Amino acid sequence: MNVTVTFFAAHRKAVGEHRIDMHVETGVTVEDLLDTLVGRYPGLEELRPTTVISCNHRVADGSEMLEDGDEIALLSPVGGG
Amino acid sequence: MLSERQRKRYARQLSMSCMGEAGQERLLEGTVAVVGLGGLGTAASLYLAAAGVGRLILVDEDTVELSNLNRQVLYSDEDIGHPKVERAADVLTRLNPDVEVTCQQKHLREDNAGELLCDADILLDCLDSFAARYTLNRAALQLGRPLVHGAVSELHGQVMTVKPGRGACLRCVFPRSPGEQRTPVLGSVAGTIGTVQATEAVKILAGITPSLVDVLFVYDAGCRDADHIAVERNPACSACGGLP
Repeated sequence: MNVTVTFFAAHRKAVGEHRIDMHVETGVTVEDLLDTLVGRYPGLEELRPTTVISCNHRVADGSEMLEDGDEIALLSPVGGG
Repeated sequence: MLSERQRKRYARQLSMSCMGEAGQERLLEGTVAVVGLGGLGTAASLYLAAAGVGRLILVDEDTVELSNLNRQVLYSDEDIGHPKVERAADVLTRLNPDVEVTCQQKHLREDNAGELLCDADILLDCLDSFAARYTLNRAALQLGRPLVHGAVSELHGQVMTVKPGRGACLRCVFPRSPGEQRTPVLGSVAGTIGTVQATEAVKILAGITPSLVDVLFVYDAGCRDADHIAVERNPACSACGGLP
């Protein structure tokens, strides 16, 4: 099945792309997807402790199973004012 | 009751069906605390004053520096070295004499937050560190006041509104600080986020719905994209988990 992953701000800089399409196996969780992304884009590792993941425009739990067509987004809090 | 001058001054916004004279009166009776008078706070307070929010409490201990002037739109070169709250109050009261401005040239801490903020109906998080944001978040929860959080970095920003007892607090969504390094900021992006915060405050005061309660608005000018992400209260949150 296929999902879309959008990267905002520091995640976009770490990956070098704003949005990618990914093929994932059935039964893959949000956390599994993050593992795969960190393996593919090592710059995501240092952002991982503060990464917020959304699935279909709501904050997702890491154990959530992905479904075909899901829209995932990765972002980190920013602190400037 | 609005004066004839106020009816003229605010004519273009009180003619909105969602505002009306009743909404404008609520703005004029309202008090907003703007905590942090940097890129976010200067933009937000400018539009709050223009909209006719009756009282602004400005909280910031800093003085104006040359490096502030790319984004902190209430100050100019001649203000360098002067307290931000005083220079901001001068500009805002000249912009709209309806607005009473209270200056608090102080650093927000756990032990003074209640005293500084207890008169406010709404708190605006325009700070530049997550440690201070967590302090303000806790104060909002303790006082039971809505908190409009905003933050920026480079070309990216975020806004969400915390309504104590109703939804997620800042720490539910961001349990860990991103660190306290000085972040680069494009002034116009801080202005974009600060004015979204001002809009939130005006809507809440005037009773205009929906607001960004339980919604994280993210804006990334670097890729011309924005998103609204639904957030939920975390029952195990270290800030609001034990509260009703």
